Amino acid sequence: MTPVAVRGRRAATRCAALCLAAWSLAGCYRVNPPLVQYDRDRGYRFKALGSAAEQRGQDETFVALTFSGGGTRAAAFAYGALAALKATEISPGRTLLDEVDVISSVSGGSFTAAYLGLFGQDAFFTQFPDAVLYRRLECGLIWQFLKPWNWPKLLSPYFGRSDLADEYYDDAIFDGRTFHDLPLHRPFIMLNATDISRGAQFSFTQDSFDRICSDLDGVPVSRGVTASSAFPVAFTPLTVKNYGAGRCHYAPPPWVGNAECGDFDANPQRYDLAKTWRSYEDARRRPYIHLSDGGLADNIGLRAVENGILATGALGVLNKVNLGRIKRLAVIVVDAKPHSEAPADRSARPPGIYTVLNASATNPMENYSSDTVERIRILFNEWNRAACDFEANRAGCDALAAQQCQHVRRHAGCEQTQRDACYAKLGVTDAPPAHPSLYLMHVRFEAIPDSAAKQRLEAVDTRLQLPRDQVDLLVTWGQRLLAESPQYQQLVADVRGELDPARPRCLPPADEECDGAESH
Amino acid sequence: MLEWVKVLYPRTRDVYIDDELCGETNVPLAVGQGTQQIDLGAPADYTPARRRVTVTGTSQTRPREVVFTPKP
Repeated sequence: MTPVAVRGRRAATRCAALCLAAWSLAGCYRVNPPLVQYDRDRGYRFKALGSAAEQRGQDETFVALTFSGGGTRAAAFAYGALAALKATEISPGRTLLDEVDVISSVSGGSFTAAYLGLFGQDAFFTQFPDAVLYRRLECGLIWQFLKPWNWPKLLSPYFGRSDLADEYYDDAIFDGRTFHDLPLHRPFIMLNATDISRGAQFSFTQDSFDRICSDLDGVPVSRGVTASSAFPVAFTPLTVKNYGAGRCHYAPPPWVGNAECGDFDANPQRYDLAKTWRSYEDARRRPYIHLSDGGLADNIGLRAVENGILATGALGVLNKVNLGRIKRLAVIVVDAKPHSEAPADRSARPPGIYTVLNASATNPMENYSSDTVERIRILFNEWNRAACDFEANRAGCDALAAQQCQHVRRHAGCEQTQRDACYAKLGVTDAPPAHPSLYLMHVRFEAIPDSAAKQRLEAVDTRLQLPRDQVDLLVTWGQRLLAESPQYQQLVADVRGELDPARPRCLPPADEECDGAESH
Repeated sequence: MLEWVKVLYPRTRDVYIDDELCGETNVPLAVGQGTQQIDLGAPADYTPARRRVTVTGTSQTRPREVVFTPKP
Protein backbone atom coordinates (compact mmCIF):
# COMPACT_ATOMS: atom_id res chain seq x y z
CA MET A 1 0.00 0.00 0.00
CA THR A 2 1.38 3.41 -0.90
CA PRO A 3 1.98 6.05 1.83
CA VAL A 4 -0.78 8.15 0.28
CA ALA A 5 -3.24 5.28 0.54
CA VAL A 6 -2.21 4.61 4.16
CA ARG A 7 -2.69 8.28 5.03
CA GLY A 8 -6.08 8.21 3.32
CA ARG A 9 -7.17 5.14 5.25
CA ARG A 10 -6.03 6.69 8.56
CA ALA A 11 -7.93 9.88 7.80
CA ALA A 12 -11.04 7.89 7.00
CA THR A 13 -10.69 5.93 10.24
CA ARG A 14 -10.26 9.18 12.22
CA CYS A 15 -13.24 10.66 10.50
CA ALA A 16 -15.34 7.61 11.23
CA ALA A 17 -14.26 7.67 14.89
CA LEU A 18 -15.09 11.36 15.13
CA CYS A 19 -18.48 10.79 13.55
CA LEU A 20 -19.14 7.89 15.90
CA ALA A 21 -18.17 10.00 18.90
CA ALA A 22 -20.32 12.91 17.72
CA TRP A 23 -23.22 10.56 17.07
CA SER A 24 -22.87 8.96 20.48
CA LEU A 25 -22.64 12.34 22.18
CA ALA A 26 -25.61 13.70 20.28
CA GLY A 27 -27.67 10.66 21.09
CA CYS A 28 -27.21 10.07 24.79
CA TYR A 29 -29.96 10.08 27.39
CA ARG A 30 -29.92 12.77 30.05
CA VAL A 31 -27.93 11.19 32.84
CA ASN A 32 -29.16 11.60 36.40
CA PRO A 33 -26.40 13.14 38.55
CA PRO A 34 -24.62 11.27 41.37
CA LEU A 35 -25.27 11.94 45.04
CA VAL A 36 -22.13 13.00 46.87
CA GLN A 37 -23.21 12.17 50.40
CA TYR A 38 -26.35 10.37 51.54
CA ASP A 39 -28.38 12.39 54.04
CA ARG A 40 -31.73 10.91 55.03
CA ASP A 41 -33.18 14.34 55.87
CA ARG A 42 -32.19 16.11 52.65
CA GLY A 43 -33.74 16.17 49.21
CA TYR A 44 -37.24 15.73 47.90
CA ARG A 45 -38.76 13.29 50.37
CA PHE A 46 -41.87 13.41 52.51
CA LYS A 47 -40.01 13.66 55.78
CA ALA A 48 -38.18 16.77 54.60
CA LEU A 49 -41.56 18.48 54.29
CA GLY A 50 -42.82 17.35 57.68
CA SER A 51 -41.93 19.87 60.32
CA ALA A 52 -43.33 23.01 58.67
CA ALA A 53 -46.64 21.25 58.01
CA GLU A 54 -46.82 20.04 61.59
CA GLN A 55 -46.28 23.57 62.84
CA ARG A 56 -49.23 24.72 60.78
CA GLY A 57 -51.39 21.92 62.17
CA GLN A 58 -51.67 20.53 58.66
CA ASP A 59 -51.53 16.96 59.90
CA GLU A 60 -54.94 17.05 61.57
CA THR A 61 -56.58 16.19 58.25
CA PHE A 62 -54.30 13.97 56.20
CA VAL A 63 -55.38 13.74 52.59
CA ALA A 64 -53.73 11.41 50.08
CA LEU A 65 -54.73 11.76 46.44
CA THR A 66 -53.93 9.27 43.72
CA PHE A 67 -54.20 9.86 39.99
CA SER A 68 -54.53 6.97 37.59
CA GLY A 69 -53.07 6.50 34.17
CA GLY A 70 -54.99 7.00 30.94
CA GLY A 71 -53.26 9.77 28.96
CA THR A 72 -55.09 13.08 28.67
CA ARG A 73 -58.29 11.38 29.84
CA ALA A 74 -56.66 10.76 33.22
CA ALA A 75 -54.97 14.18 33.34
CA ALA A 76 -58.28 15.98 32.74
CA PHE A 77 -60.25 13.82 35.17
CA ALA A 78 -57.64 14.50 37.86
CA TYR A 79 -57.78 18.22 37.08
CA GLY A 80 -61.55 18.10 37.69
CA ALA A 81 -61.07 16.43 41.07
CA LEU A 82 -58.53 19.09 42.05
CA ALA A 83 -61.03 21.76 41.00
CA ALA A 84 -63.57 20.21 43.38
CA LEU A 85 -61.07 20.37 46.23
CA LYS A 86 -60.24 23.97 45.33
CA ALA A 87 -63.94 24.90 45.35
CA THR A 88 -64.46 23.44 48.83
CA GLU A 89 -63.83 26.13 51.39
CA ILE A 90 -63.24 24.72 54.86
CA SER A 91 -62.43 27.96 56.67
CA PRO A 92 -62.05 31.56 55.52
CA GLY A 93 -59.42 31.66 52.78
CA ARG A 94 -58.64 27.96 53.07
CA THR A 95 -59.86 25.15 50.82
CA LEU A 96 -59.65 21.41 51.04
CA LEU A 97 -56.93 21.50 48.39
CA ASP A 98 -54.71 23.21 50.96
CA GLU A 99 -55.11 20.10 53.13
CA VAL A 100 -53.78 17.68 50.52
CA ASP A 101 -50.59 16.09 51.84
CA VAL A 102 -49.58 13.61 49.16
CA ILE A 103 -50.33 13.12 45.50
CA SER A 104 -49.25 9.81 44.03
CA SER A 105 -49.65 9.50 40.29
CA VAL A 106 -48.94 7.30 37.33
CA SER A 107 -48.82 7.93 33.61
CA GLY A 108 -51.28 10.59 32.38
CA GLY A 109 -52.11 11.58 35.95
CA SER A 110 -48.45 12.48 36.48
CA PHE A 111 -48.74 15.49 34.15
CA THR A 112 -51.40 16.92 36.47
CA ALA A 113 -49.60 16.07 39.69
CA ALA A 114 -46.23 17.43 38.53
CA TYR A 115 -47.66 20.66 37.15
CA LEU A 116 -49.55 21.41 40.36
CA GLY A 117 -46.53 20.59 42.48
CA LEU A 118 -44.13 22.69 40.42
CA PHE A 119 -46.16 25.77 39.65
CA GLY A 120 -48.61 25.98 42.57
CA GLN A 121 -52.38 26.34 42.64
CA ASP A 122 -52.80 29.74 40.95
CA ALA A 123 -50.71 28.93 37.90
CA PHE A 124 -52.11 25.42 37.80
CA PHE A 125 -55.74 26.47 37.48
CA THR A 126 -55.03 29.20 34.95
CA GLN A 127 -52.35 27.59 32.79
CA PHE A 128 -52.61 23.82 32.97
CA PRO A 129 -55.58 23.40 30.60
CA ASP A 130 -53.78 25.18 27.76
CA ALA A 131 -50.36 23.86 28.67
CA VAL A 132 -51.44 20.20 28.71
CA LEU A 133 -55.12 19.34 28.48
CA TYR A 134 -55.98 21.19 25.27
CA ARG A 135 -52.51 20.84 23.83
CA ARG A 136 -51.99 18.50 20.90
CA LEU A 137 -49.17 16.65 22.60
CA GLU A 138 -49.15 13.79 20.12
CA CYS A 139 -48.72 16.21 17.23
CA GLY A 140 -45.95 17.92 19.16
CA LEU A 141 -44.21 14.59 19.71
CA ILE A 142 -44.54 13.56 16.08
CA TRP A 143 -43.15 16.93 15.05
CA GLN A 144 -40.10 16.24 17.21
CA PHE A 145 -39.58 12.96 15.40
CA LEU A 146 -39.83 14.66 12.05
CA LYS A 147 -37.16 17.26 12.80
CA PRO A 148 -34.05 16.14 10.89
CA TRP A 149 -31.65 17.33 13.60
CA ASN A 150 -33.26 14.82 15.98
CA TRP A 151 -32.62 11.87 13.69
CA PRO A 152 -28.98 11.26 14.65
CA LYS A 153 -30.01 11.11 18.29
CA LEU A 154 -32.81 8.68 17.54
CA LEU A 155 -30.38 6.41 15.69
CA SER A 156 -28.26 6.15 18.80
CA PRO A 157 -28.81 3.04 20.94
CA TYR A 158 -28.59 5.27 24.04
CA PHE A 159 -31.41 7.59 23.13
CA GLY A 160 -34.99 6.36 22.77
CA ARG A 161 -38.32 7.82 21.83
CA SER A 162 -38.97 8.52 25.50
CA ASP A 163 -35.81 10.63 25.70
CA LEU A 164 -37.10 12.76 22.87
CA ALA A 165 -40.49 13.01 24.57
CA ASP A 166 -38.70 14.00 27.77
CA GLU A 167 -36.91 16.86 25.98
CA TYR A 168 -40.18 17.98 24.45
CA TYR A 169 -42.13 17.95 27.74
CA ASP A 170 -39.24 19.68 29.46
CA ASP A 171 -39.24 22.49 26.95
CA ALA A 172 -42.95 22.81 26.23
CA ILE A 173 -44.53 22.10 29.63
CA PHE A 174 -42.13 22.04 32.54
CA ASP A 175 -39.90 24.96 31.64
CA GLY A 176 -36.65 23.10 32.32
CA ARG A 177 -37.45 22.76 36.01
CA THR A 178 -35.83 20.05 38.10
CA PHE A 179 -36.93 18.32 41.30
CA HIS A 180 -34.89 20.93 43.14
CA ASP A 181 -37.55 23.43 42.01
CA LEU A 182 -40.37 21.48 43.63
CA PRO A 183 -41.25 23.46 46.74
CA LEU A 184 -40.53 21.74 50.04
CA HIS A 185 -44.09 21.94 51.21
CA ARG A 186 -47.15 19.82 50.76
CA PRO A 187 -48.56 18.32 48.67
CA PHE A 188 -45.70 15.90 48.26
CA ILE A 189 -45.66 14.70 44.68
CA MET A 190 -44.85 11.06 43.97
CA LEU A 191 -44.43 10.38 40.26
CA ASN A 192 -44.40 6.62 39.87
CA ALA A 193 -42.79 4.61 37.09
CA THR A 194 -42.14 0.87 36.81
CA ASP A 195 -38.74 -0.77 37.00
CA ILE A 196 -39.30 -3.22 34.16
CA SER A 197 -36.69 -5.76 35.29
CA ARG A 198 -38.30 -6.20 38.70
CA GLY A 199 -41.86 -5.25 37.76
CA ALA A 200 -41.71 -2.98 40.78
CA GLN A 201 -42.87 0.56 41.34
CA PHE A 202 -40.09 3.14 41.15
CA SER A 203 -41.03 6.55 42.56
CA PHE A 204 -39.23 9.77 41.70
CA THR A 205 -38.45 10.65 45.31
CA GLN A 206 -35.09 11.06 46.99
CA ASP A 207 -35.85 7.96 49.09
CA SER A 208 -35.83 5.95 45.85
CA PHE A 209 -32.85 7.74 44.36
CA ASP A 210 -30.81 7.25 47.53
CA ARG A 211 -30.64 3.55 46.67
CA ILE A 212 -28.76 4.32 43.47
CA CYS A 213 -26.78 7.18 45.03
CA SER A 214 -28.24 9.72 42.64
CA ASP A 215 -29.26 13.27 43.42
CA LEU A 216 -32.89 13.75 42.42
CA ASP A 217 -32.51 17.51 42.77
CA GLY A 218 -30.58 17.53 39.49
CA VAL A 219 -33.16 15.50 37.58
CA PRO A 220 -35.66 17.34 35.36
CA VAL A 221 -39.26 16.90 36.51
CA SER A 222 -40.13 16.11 32.90
CA ARG A 223 -38.05 12.96 33.22
CA GLY A 224 -40.19 11.70 36.07
CA VAL A 225 -43.35 12.44 34.11
CA THR A 226 -41.94 10.81 30.97
CA ALA A 227 -40.87 7.66 32.78
CA SER A 228 -44.22 7.50 34.54
CA SER A 229 -46.06 7.74 31.21
CA ALA A 230 -43.73 5.70 28.98
CA PHE A 231 -46.38 3.27 27.80
CA PRO A 232 -44.63 0.19 26.39
CA VAL A 233 -44.06 -0.09 22.66
CA ALA A 234 -45.25 3.47 21.95
CA PHE A 235 -42.44 4.74 24.17
CA THR A 236 -39.09 3.16 24.95
CA PRO A 237 -38.12 2.62 28.59
CA LEU A 238 -36.18 5.48 30.16
CA THR A 239 -32.71 4.76 31.51
CA VAL A 240 -31.52 5.79 34.97
CA LYS A 241 -27.88 5.40 35.93
CA ASN A 242 -27.21 3.46 39.12
CA TYR A 243 -24.07 4.70 40.90
CA GLY A 244 -24.25 2.02 43.61
CA ALA A 245 -25.10 2.46 47.27
CA GLY A 246 -21.47 2.45 48.39
CA ARG A 247 -20.58 5.60 46.53
CA CYS A 248 -22.56 7.94 48.81
CA HIS A 249 -22.38 5.84 52.01
CA TYR A 250 -26.03 4.96 51.79
CA ALA A 251 -27.69 3.13 54.66
CA PRO A 252 -31.11 1.64 53.92
CA PRO A 253 -34.00 2.60 56.22
CA PRO A 254 -34.58 0.24 59.17
CA TRP A 255 -37.72 -1.34 57.68
CA VAL A 256 -35.60 -3.01 54.97
CA GLY A 257 -33.44 -4.98 57.40
CA ASN A 258 -36.45 -5.74 59.58
CA ALA A 259 -38.44 -7.10 56.65
CA GLU A 260 -35.51 -9.24 55.47
CA CYS A 261 -35.05 -10.52 59.00
CA GLY A 262 -38.58 -11.55 59.87
CA ASP A 263 -41.14 -11.00 57.14
CA PHE A 264 -40.53 -13.95 54.86
CA ASP A 265 -43.59 -15.67 56.37
CA ALA A 266 -45.09 -12.85 58.42
CA ASN A 267 -45.52 -10.41 55.52
CA PRO A 268 -44.14 -11.82 52.24
CA GLN A 269 -45.16 -8.74 50.31
CA ARG A 270 -43.06 -6.50 52.55
CA TYR A 271 -40.24 -9.03 52.34
CA ASP A 272 -40.33 -8.85 48.53
CA LEU A 273 -40.41 -5.07 48.71
CA ALA A 274 -37.25 -5.15 50.84
CA LYS A 275 -35.55 -7.53 48.40
CA THR A 276 -36.37 -5.22 45.51
CA TRP A 277 -35.11 -2.27 47.53
CA ARG A 278 -31.80 -4.07 48.06
CA SER A 279 -31.49 -5.00 44.38
CA TYR A 280 -30.44 -1.44 43.51
CA GLU A 281 -27.55 -1.32 45.93
CA ASP A 282 -25.08 -3.26 43.81
CA ALA A 283 -24.28 -1.15 40.77
CA ARG A 284 -22.10 -3.89 39.31
CA ARG A 285 -25.12 -6.12 38.86
CA ARG A 286 -27.55 -3.37 37.88
CA PRO A 287 -25.57 -0.37 36.58
CA TYR A 288 -28.65 0.89 34.77
CA ILE A 289 -32.33 0.85 35.68
CA HIS A 290 -34.91 0.91 32.91
CA LEU A 291 -38.22 2.57 33.67
CA SER A 292 -41.53 2.27 31.90
CA ASP A 293 -45.07 3.44 32.51
CA GLY A 294 -46.03 3.47 36.19
CA GLY A 295 -49.29 1.80 35.29
CA LEU A 296 -47.50 -1.50 34.71
CA ALA A 297 -46.92 -1.85 38.44
CA ASP A 298 -50.04 -0.05 39.67
CA ASN A 299 -52.34 1.90 37.40
CA ILE A 300 -53.95 4.06 40.08
CA GLY A 301 -50.90 5.09 42.12
CA LEU A 302 -52.42 3.72 45.30
CA ARG A 303 -49.76 1.14 46.12
CA ALA A 304 -47.22 3.88 46.75
CA VAL A 305 -49.57 5.38 49.33
CA GLU A 306 -50.43 2.01 50.87
CA ASN A 307 -46.75 1.12 51.16
CA GLY A 308 -45.94 4.55 52.56
CA ILE A 309 -48.54 4.03 55.27
CA LEU A 310 -48.12 0.35 56.13
CA ALA A 311 -44.97 -1.28 54.74
CA THR A 312 -42.23 1.36 54.77
CA GLY A 313 -43.71 4.04 57.00
CA ALA A 314 -42.24 6.68 54.66
CA LEU A 315 -45.36 8.86 55.04
CA GLY A 316 -45.29 8.54 58.85
CA VAL A 317 -49.07 8.25 58.96
CA LEU A 318 -49.43 5.57 61.63
CA ASN A 319 -46.98 7.34 63.92
CA LYS A 320 -48.97 10.55 63.63
CA VAL A 321 -52.20 8.68 64.26
CA ASN A 322 -50.75 7.07 67.39
CA LEU A 323 -49.54 10.45 68.58
CA GLY A 324 -53.03 11.88 68.09
CA ARG A 325 -51.89 14.34 65.41
CA ILE A 326 -53.98 12.92 62.59
CA LYS A 327 -57.70 13.15 63.34
CA ARG A 328 -58.94 12.42 59.83
CA LEU A 329 -57.37 10.25 57.17
CA ALA A 330 -58.77 10.58 53.66
CA VAL A 331 -57.70 8.66 50.56
CA ILE A 332 -59.09 9.91 47.26
CA VAL A 333 -58.53 7.67 44.24
CA VAL A 334 -59.17 9.42 40.93
CA ASP A 335 -59.48 6.57 38.48
CA ALA A 336 -60.03 7.29 34.78
CA LYS A 337 -60.36 3.63 33.88
CA PRO A 338 -62.21 3.27 30.58
CA HIS A 339 -64.71 0.60 29.76
CA SER A 340 -64.58 -0.51 26.21
CA GLU A 341 -67.24 -2.50 24.50
CA ALA A 342 -66.19 -6.00 23.51
CA PRO A 343 -66.83 -6.25 19.78
CA ALA A 344 -64.85 -9.49 19.66
CA ASP A 345 -67.55 -11.17 21.75
CA ARG A 346 -70.06 -10.60 19.00
CA SER A 347 -68.32 -13.13 16.81
CA ALA A 348 -67.37 -16.79 17.15
CA ARG A 349 -64.04 -15.98 15.54
CA PRO A 350 -61.12 -15.82 18.00
CA PRO A 351 -59.99 -12.20 18.61
CA GLY A 352 -57.07 -10.84 16.63
CA ILE A 353 -53.52 -10.35 17.88
CA TYR A 354 -54.05 -6.67 18.78
CA THR A 355 -57.08 -7.45 20.95
CA VAL A 356 -55.26 -10.27 22.70
CA LEU A 357 -52.10 -8.23 23.27
CA ASN A 358 -54.11 -5.29 24.55
CA ALA A 359 -56.07 -7.53 26.91
CA SER A 360 -52.84 -9.16 28.14
CA ALA A 361 -51.28 -5.78 28.83
CA THR A 362 -54.21 -4.04 30.48
CA ASN A 363 -56.40 -6.64 32.21
CA PRO A 364 -53.92 -7.70 34.92
CA MET A 365 -53.16 -4.01 35.53
CA GLU A 366 -56.84 -3.16 36.02
CA ASN A 367 -57.50 -6.15 38.27
CA TYR A 368 -54.48 -5.27 40.40
CA SER A 369 -55.72 -1.68 40.69
CA SER A 370 -59.16 -2.83 41.84
CA ASP A 371 -57.52 -5.11 44.40
CA THR A 372 -55.53 -2.22 45.81
CA VAL A 373 -58.64 -0.12 46.36
CA GLU A 374 -60.26 -3.10 48.05
CA ARG A 375 -57.25 -3.54 50.32
CA ILE A 376 -57.58 0.04 51.52
CA ARG A 377 -61.33 -0.37 51.95
CA ILE A 378 -60.80 -3.53 54.04
CA LEU A 379 -58.07 -1.81 56.06
CA PHE A 380 -60.37 1.09 56.88
CA ASN A 381 -63.32 -1.20 57.69
CA GLU A 382 -61.20 -3.34 59.99
CA TRP A 383 -59.72 -0.30 61.67
CA ASN A 384 -63.20 1.11 62.31
CA ARG A 385 -64.44 -2.23 63.56
CA ALA A 386 -61.46 -2.56 65.92
CA ALA A 387 -62.22 0.86 67.40
CA CYS A 388 -65.90 0.02 67.76
CA ASP A 389 -65.14 -3.36 69.36
CA PHE A 390 -62.84 -1.58 71.80
CA GLU A 391 -65.59 0.88 72.72
CA ALA A 392 -68.21 -1.88 72.97
CA ASN A 393 -65.99 -3.99 75.22
CA ARG A 394 -65.34 -1.05 77.48
CA ALA A 395 -69.01 -0.11 77.68
CA GLY A 396 -69.87 -3.76 78.35
CA CYS A 397 -67.36 -3.91 81.23
CA ASP A 398 -68.75 -0.67 82.71
CA ALA A 399 -72.32 -1.98 82.54
CA LEU A 400 -71.38 -5.37 83.97
CA ALA A 401 -69.46 -3.81 86.86
CA ALA A 402 -72.39 -1.53 87.67
CA GLN A 403 -74.81 -4.46 87.58
CA GLN A 404 -72.67 -6.75 89.72
CA CYS A 405 -72.09 -4.10 92.36
CA GLN A 406 -75.50 -2.45 92.54
CA HIS A 407 -76.40 -4.10 95.88
CA VAL A 408 -72.92 -3.96 97.37
CA ARG A 409 -72.44 -1.52 100.25
CA ARG A 410 -69.00 -0.20 99.12
CA HIS A 411 -70.37 0.39 95.68
CA ALA A 412 -67.60 2.55 94.14
CA GLY A 413 -64.72 0.32 95.20
CA CYS A 414 -66.56 -2.78 93.99
CA GLU A 415 -67.25 -1.25 90.61
CA GLN A 416 -63.64 -0.21 90.15
CA THR A 417 -62.39 -3.69 91.00
CA GLN A 418 -64.89 -5.41 88.74
CA ARG A 419 -64.24 -2.98 85.91
CA ASP A 420 -60.45 -3.37 86.13
CA ALA A 421 -60.78 -7.15 86.06
CA CYS A 422 -63.07 -6.99 83.04
CA TYR A 423 -60.84 -4.46 81.23
CA ALA A 424 -57.82 -6.71 81.76
CA LYS A 425 -59.74 -9.74 80.52
CA LEU A 426 -60.98 -8.03 77.37
CA GLY A 427 -57.82 -6.04 76.68
CA VAL A 428 -59.27 -2.55 76.99
CA THR A 429 -57.96 0.50 78.80
CA ASP A 430 -59.41 3.71 80.22
CA ALA A 431 -58.06 5.73 77.32
CA PRO A 432 -58.92 4.25 73.91
CA PRO A 433 -56.17 4.15 71.26
CA ALA A 434 -56.14 7.12 68.92
CA HIS A 435 -58.50 6.51 66.05
CA PRO A 436 -58.88 8.82 63.08
CA SER A 437 -62.04 9.23 61.05
CA LEU A 438 -61.40 7.33 57.83
CA TYR A 439 -62.62 8.29 54.37
CA LEU A 440 -62.08 6.45 51.11
CA MET A 441 -63.33 7.97 47.87
CA HIS A 442 -63.01 6.12 44.58
CA VAL A 443 -63.85 8.61 41.84
CA ARG A 444 -64.58 6.73 38.62
CA PHE A 445 -66.79 6.84 35.57
CA GLU A 446 -68.88 3.96 36.90
CA ALA A 447 -70.46 6.37 39.39
CA ILE A 448 -71.82 8.74 36.74
CA PRO A 449 -75.62 8.65 37.00
CA ASP A 450 -76.19 10.02 33.50
CA SER A 451 -75.78 6.91 31.34
CA ALA A 452 -75.13 8.85 28.13
CA ALA A 453 -72.32 10.86 29.74
CA LYS A 454 -70.98 7.71 31.35
CA GLN A 455 -70.84 5.85 28.06
CA ARG A 456 -69.21 8.82 26.40
CA LEU A 457 -66.47 9.11 28.99
CA GLU A 458 -65.85 5.37 29.21
CA ALA A 459 -65.24 5.35 25.48
CA VAL A 460 -62.62 8.12 25.52
CA ASP A 461 -59.38 6.79 24.08
CA THR A 462 -56.08 6.63 25.91
CA ARG A 463 -54.24 9.32 23.98
CA LEU A 464 -52.15 12.39 24.62
CA GLN A 465 -54.55 14.70 22.85
CA LEU A 466 -58.30 14.82 22.96
CA PRO A 467 -60.99 17.01 21.47
CA ARG A 468 -61.75 20.05 23.62
CA ASP A 469 -65.33 18.98 24.38
CA GLN A 470 -64.12 15.63 25.72
CA VAL A 471 -61.58 17.35 27.95
CA ASP A 472 -64.27 19.69 29.28
CA LEU A 473 -66.61 16.79 29.97
CA LEU A 474 -63.88 14.91 31.83
CA VAL A 475 -63.09 17.96 33.94
CA THR A 476 -66.75 18.56 34.70
CA TRP A 477 -67.37 15.00 35.82
CA GLY A 478 -64.12 14.73 37.75
CA GLN A 479 -65.21 17.75 39.75
CA ARG A 480 -68.82 16.68 40.11
CA LEU A 481 -68.22 13.07 41.05
CA LEU A 482 -65.86 13.99 43.87
CA ALA A 483 -68.00 16.88 45.15
CA GLU A 484 -71.15 14.73 45.15
CA SER A 485 -69.56 11.67 46.73
CA PRO A 486 -71.22 10.99 50.15
CA GLN A 487 -67.84 10.25 51.72
CA TYR A 488 -66.50 13.55 50.45
CA GLN A 489 -69.47 15.47 51.83
CA GLN A 490 -69.01 13.78 55.18
CA LEU A 491 -65.29 14.60 55.15
CA VAL A 492 -66.06 18.24 54.39
CA ALA A 493 -68.63 18.42 57.19
CA ASP A 494 -66.12 16.81 59.55
CA VAL A 495 -63.32 19.23 58.63
CA ARG A 496 -65.68 22.19 58.99
CA GLY A 497 -66.78 20.92 62.40
CA GLU A 498 -70.35 20.47 61.23
CA LEU A 499 -70.77 16.84 62.28
CA ASP A 500 -73.03 16.30 65.26
CA PRO A 501 -70.65 15.52 68.16
CA ALA A 502 -73.35 13.35 69.75
CA ARG A 503 -73.56 11.21 66.60
CA PRO A 504 -72.57 7.66 67.55
CA ARG A 505 -69.46 6.51 65.73
CA CYS A 506 -70.37 2.88 65.83
CA LEU A 507 -73.66 1.77 64.42
CA PRO A 508 -74.86 -1.67 63.46
CA PRO A 509 -74.78 -2.15 59.69
CA ALA A 510 -77.87 -0.65 58.10
CA ASP A 511 -80.30 -2.85 56.21
CA GLU A 512 -80.00 -1.35 52.78
CA GLU A 513 -81.97 -2.53 49.84
CA CYS A 514 -80.48 -2.25 46.45
CA ASP A 515 -82.61 -0.36 43.94
CA GLY A 516 -83.91 -2.71 41.34
CA ALA A 517 -83.26 -5.83 43.41
CA GLU A 518 -86.35 -7.90 43.91
CA SER A 519 -86.95 -9.65 47.19
CA HIS A 520 -88.95 -12.79 47.29
CA MET B 1 -52.71 -4.99 57.17
CA LEU B 2 -52.89 -3.15 60.43
CA GLU B 3 -51.42 -4.66 63.57
CA TRP B 4 -51.23 -3.58 67.19
CA VAL B 5 -48.35 -3.33 69.64
CA LYS B 6 -48.47 -2.42 73.31
CA VAL B 7 -45.16 -1.48 74.86
CA LEU B 8 -45.22 -2.17 78.56
CA TYR B 9 -43.18 -0.08 80.96
CA PRO B 10 -43.85 0.91 84.59
CA ARG B 11 -44.47 4.53 83.63
CA THR B 12 -45.48 6.54 80.61
CA ARG B 13 -42.70 7.38 78.19
CA ASP B 14 -42.16 7.74 74.47
CA VAL B 15 -41.99 4.75 72.16
CA TYR B 16 -39.83 4.72 69.03
CA ILE B 17 -40.43 2.31 66.21
CA ASP B 18 -37.70 2.10 63.57
CA ASP B 19 -36.10 5.21 65.10
CA GLU B 20 -39.22 7.34 64.69
CA LEU B 21 -41.37 8.62 67.53
CA CYS B 22 -44.51 6.51 67.39
CA GLY B 23 -46.48 7.01 70.60
CA GLU B 24 -46.42 6.20 74.28
CA THR B 25 -46.04 3.13 76.45
CA ASN B 26 -48.97 1.14 77.82
CA VAL B 27 -51.49 1.94 75.09
CA PRO B 28 -52.09 -0.06 71.91
CA LEU B 29 -50.20 1.45 68.95
CA ALA B 30 -51.15 0.87 65.33
CA VAL B 31 -48.29 -0.55 63.23
CA GLY B 32 -47.92 -2.19 59.85
CA GLN B 33 -47.79 -5.97 59.68
CA GLY B 34 -44.29 -7.36 59.94
CA THR B 35 -41.07 -6.89 61.83
CA GLN B 36 -40.36 -3.71 63.78
CA GLN B 37 -37.54 -2.41 65.96
CA ILE B 38 -38.79 -0.89 69.17
CA ASP B 39 -37.05 1.20 71.80
CA LEU B 40 -37.89 3.91 74.32
CA GLY B 41 -35.39 6.54 73.23
CA ALA B 42 -33.20 8.56 75.58
CA PRO B 43 -32.32 8.25 78.41
CA ALA B 44 -31.23 4.67 77.94
CA ASP B 45 -32.13 3.70 81.52
CA TYR B 46 -34.14 0.65 80.55
CA THR B 47 -33.50 -2.84 79.35
CA PRO B 48 -33.24 -4.35 76.78
CA ALA B 49 -31.91 -1.44 74.72
CA ARG B 50 -33.98 -2.39 71.71
CA ARG B 51 -36.30 -5.20 70.68
CA ARG B 52 -37.00 -6.50 67.23
CA VAL B 53 -40.43 -8.13 67.10
CA THR B 54 -42.54 -9.61 64.32
CA VAL B 55 -46.10 -8.41 64.66
CA THR B 56 -48.86 -10.41 63.05
CA GLY B 57 -52.29 -11.72 63.98
CA THR B 58 -52.94 -9.08 66.61
CA SER B 59 -55.98 -6.97 67.38
CA GLN B 60 -56.55 -3.74 69.21
CA THR B 61 -57.72 -5.67 72.26
CA ARG B 62 -55.07 -8.39 71.86
CA PRO B 63 -51.95 -6.45 70.88
CA ARG B 64 -48.44 -7.87 70.77
CA GLU B 65 -46.99 -6.94 74.15
CA VAL B 66 -43.37 -5.81 74.27
CA VAL B 67 -41.89 -5.48 77.74
CA PHE B 68 -39.14 -3.11 78.83
CA THR B 69 -38.00 -2.74 82.42
CA PRO B 70 -36.01 -0.01 84.17
CA LYS B 71 -32.32 -0.78 84.62
CA PRO B 72 -31.64 -1.82 88.20
